[in-house]
Amino acid sequence: MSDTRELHFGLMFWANGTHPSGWRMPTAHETAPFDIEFLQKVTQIAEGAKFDFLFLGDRLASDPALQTTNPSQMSRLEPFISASSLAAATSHIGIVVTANPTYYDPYNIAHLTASLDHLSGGRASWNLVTGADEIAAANFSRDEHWDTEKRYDWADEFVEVAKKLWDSRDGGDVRDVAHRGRYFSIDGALDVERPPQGHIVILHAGTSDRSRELGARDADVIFAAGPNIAVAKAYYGDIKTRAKKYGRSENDIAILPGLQVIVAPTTEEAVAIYDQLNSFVILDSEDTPEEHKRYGALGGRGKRNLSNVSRTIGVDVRDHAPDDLVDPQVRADANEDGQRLFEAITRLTRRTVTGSARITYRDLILAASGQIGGVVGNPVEVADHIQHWFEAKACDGFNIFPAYNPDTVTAFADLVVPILQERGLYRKEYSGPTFRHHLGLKRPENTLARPSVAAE
Amino acid sequence: MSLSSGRAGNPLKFGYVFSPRDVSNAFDPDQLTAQAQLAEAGVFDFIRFQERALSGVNSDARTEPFTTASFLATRTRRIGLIAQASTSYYEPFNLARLIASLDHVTHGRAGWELVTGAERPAHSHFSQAQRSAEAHYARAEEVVEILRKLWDSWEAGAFVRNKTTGEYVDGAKIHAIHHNGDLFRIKGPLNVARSPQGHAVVALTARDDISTDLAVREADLIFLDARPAVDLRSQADQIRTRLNSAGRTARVFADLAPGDGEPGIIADRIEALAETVKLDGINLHFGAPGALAAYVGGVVPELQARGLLARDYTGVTLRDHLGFAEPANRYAA
Repeated sequence: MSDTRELHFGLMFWANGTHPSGWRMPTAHETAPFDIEFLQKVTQIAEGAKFDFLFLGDRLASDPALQTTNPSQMSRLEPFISASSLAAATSHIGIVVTANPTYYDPYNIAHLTASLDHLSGGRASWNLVTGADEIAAANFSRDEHWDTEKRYDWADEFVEVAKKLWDSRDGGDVRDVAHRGRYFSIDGALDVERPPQGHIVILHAGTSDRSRELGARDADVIFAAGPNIAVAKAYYGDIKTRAKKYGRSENDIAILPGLQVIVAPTTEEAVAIYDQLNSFVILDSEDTPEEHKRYGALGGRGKRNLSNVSRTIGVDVRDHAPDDLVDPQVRADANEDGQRLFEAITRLTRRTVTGSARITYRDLILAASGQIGGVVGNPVEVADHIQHWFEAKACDGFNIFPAYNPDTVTAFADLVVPILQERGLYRKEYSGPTFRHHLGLKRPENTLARPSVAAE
Repeated sequence: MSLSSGRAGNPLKFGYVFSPRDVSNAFDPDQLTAQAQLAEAGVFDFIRFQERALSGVNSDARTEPFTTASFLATRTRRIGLIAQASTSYYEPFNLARLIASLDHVTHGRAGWELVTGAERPAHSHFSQAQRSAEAHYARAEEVVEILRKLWDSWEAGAFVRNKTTGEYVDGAKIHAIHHNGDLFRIKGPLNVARSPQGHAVVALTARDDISTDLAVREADLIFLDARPAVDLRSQADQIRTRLNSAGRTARVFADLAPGDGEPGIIADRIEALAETVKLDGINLHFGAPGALAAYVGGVVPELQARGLLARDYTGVTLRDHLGFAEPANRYAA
C-alpha cells in the first residue's frame, strides 16, 4: 500500500441480497443467484465505482430452513465458476472466491486460483475460510466438523503448500515443490504457469486467536467483524501489531469490516427503504410457554418474535402486536441489552419512544433478532460514517453489503462514491489492472529454488 | 451428398480438442477467446478442455478446465464446453457443484469429461498412494452415482421466490440424497439449483475393458481410444452392441488430426473415418497456431457442402446439439 491511506471497498455479493428480505423488494432481481448476466451487470456497476473487489461468499451445505433467515445462502453458483464468468465481463475489479481448505485439496485450489488469475489478468483472490459450518461435514463423508485447532493446523500448511505450487512453474522453470508436511506430501509442479500476481491475493476473516494469527501472517485483506467502532479499533490494532512479527508492514494488510448501506437522496427516503425491507421480514410465531421457559435468558436468539424480545430486554412485552408503539416505560424498564437495541434502532430509523416518529414492537423484534447493523442515511451521512471509521483507524475501508440487488449497489456507486472521491479519500481511477495494484502490493518473489537445469 | 449408415442421414458431430500448442500463448485469455470463437464459427458441437498431459512437456501447461470453460461461456453463444476433471482427485460434492454451475453459466452447454487416476496418475500431487485401476474406477463409479443424485436434489420448480407471500423455496422439491456408499457418505442436497440440462453431458474415453464398462453404463459421449481404423471399427461395433442391450443411447466419437492439405482431401479423410467406423462424430486435434483457422476457413465449407457438417447450430444446449433429451429427475413425484 502507498504511504497515503486510501479507502478500499469490496462488494459482499450475495445475489439475493444481504438482507433476509432483500429479494422481496419490488425492484430486486429475485432470480439473481443463477443469472450470470445479472451478476456480470452488478460486477460492472461495482467496477464503475472503482471497487477493489467483488466478494463471492460460500457455504458448503444447503438447508431449506435458511429460506427466511439467509435465503441468499441456500443455493448459488459455485464461486470459481461465477468468478471466471465475471472475469470475462470485466477488466479491473478484483474477484474474490471463497474456498474452504477443510473440504478441498491444496493442489485443486492452487490450480483453480492460478488459472483464474491468468484468465482475469491478475485479479484473482482467495477467501480462505475454515468454516464454522458444521453441517458441511455431512456432505464430505466426515463424521464431524474438525475442531478449531485442527482446522487451523490444516489451513496453515494448506496455504504454505498453495504458495509453493503457485511458484512451481515460472517462465519455463519447473521447480519441484517437494513438500513433506504434517498433512500434505506433494511432489512435482502445478500444471499452470506462475500467476500474473505471483501469489493470489489472500483474504481471511475471523476473530479467534488462530484466525487472527493466520490473517496477520498470510492475508492481504481481512474481512473483519465490526459491531461497533471500539471493537473494530481494537481488532484493527491487534492485527496490525501481530503482522509486524511476520516482517509485514501495517500497510500490507487492508482490514475491511462488513457494512450494509441503505442510502437515498434524503434521510427520510433512506429510512423508508429500510422500513420497507424490514416490512417484508416474516415473523416467527410466539414461543409456547414451555419454549419460553426453556430458552431462558440465553437461548432462542434470532427468533423473530416478542418472546425473544421479552427475554432480551428483560421486560415481558408478549401481549403486544408488532405494530403497536412501544411505551416509554418499556424503555425505562429495559436492561442494558435492551438499551443497546433501542439505541441501534434510533441510529438506523431515527425513531424514539417519545418523539413524533415512534419505535414499534416490530422494530424491537427485528433488532433483537440481529438486524441492528449497517448505516441508513443520506449520502453525506453515509460518507461521514465511512470517513469517521477510516480516520479513527477502525478500518481501511468496508466490505459493502448490498441489502438487495442491484439498487443498493447503484445507489452507493452514484450517491456515496463521488463524495468520498471529492474528499480525496478514495480513488477516481484504478492505478493498474491487477488486484495487487488496487491494494498497493508488490508481486512477491518466487521462494522456491531454481532448478539446476531448466527442464521437466 | 454421402451419408453413412451410422449417422442415419444426419451430419457428423465435431469436437475440438484444445491443445495449448494451438495458440502462441495458452495463458493469454484473448487468444483463448479467439480460439473458442473460431471453433464456434466452424460449428463445432463442443470444445474439450483437458488437464495437462502428465507425460507432456512444459509447453503443455495450460489453464484449468472449469475456469477456462466458464470464462469462455460469456464469450461464446452456442458451442458446448466440456471440462475434464478426475474423479480420483476431487471431492464429489465439489465436483457436482462445479459441473452444475458450469451448466448454469453456459445456459446448458456444459459437459464433463470423466478421467481417473488410472490413466492420468497424479497421486503425488494429492498426497495419495498409488492405486490400482480397479480402485480408481470403483471410485469413479461411485462419484458418478453421487453426482447424478446431487444434480437431481433440487427439482426444477424448487425455487418459488414469490415476493408477495415471501415463499422462497418449495421444501418438498429439495431432497437430501443420503448417499451411503463404500467410499463416500453424502447427505445433500446440493447447493446449486437444477441446471438447464438437468445433468450435464458426461464424456468418457473407452480405452480398455474397465473404462468401456463405465462408459457404456454412464457416458453420453464415448470417445474411442486412438488405434488403427480396423480396431476402432470393432471397438465401436462392440460398444454399440452393448449400448443397445443396455437400452442406452450414446454418441461415439473417434480422434483425428486433420493435418495440412487440400480441404477436399481432408474432408475425404474425415468422411472415410466416419464411414469405416460408423461414427457419430469426430474429435479433431490440431497442435499448431493457425491450424484451426485454416481448417475453419477451408475444410468446414467443404464439409458443409457435402452435408457432413451442419451449417449452423439449431439448438441451444449441448444436449440439443447431440440430440439428447433432458434426463428425468429421480426424486420428482
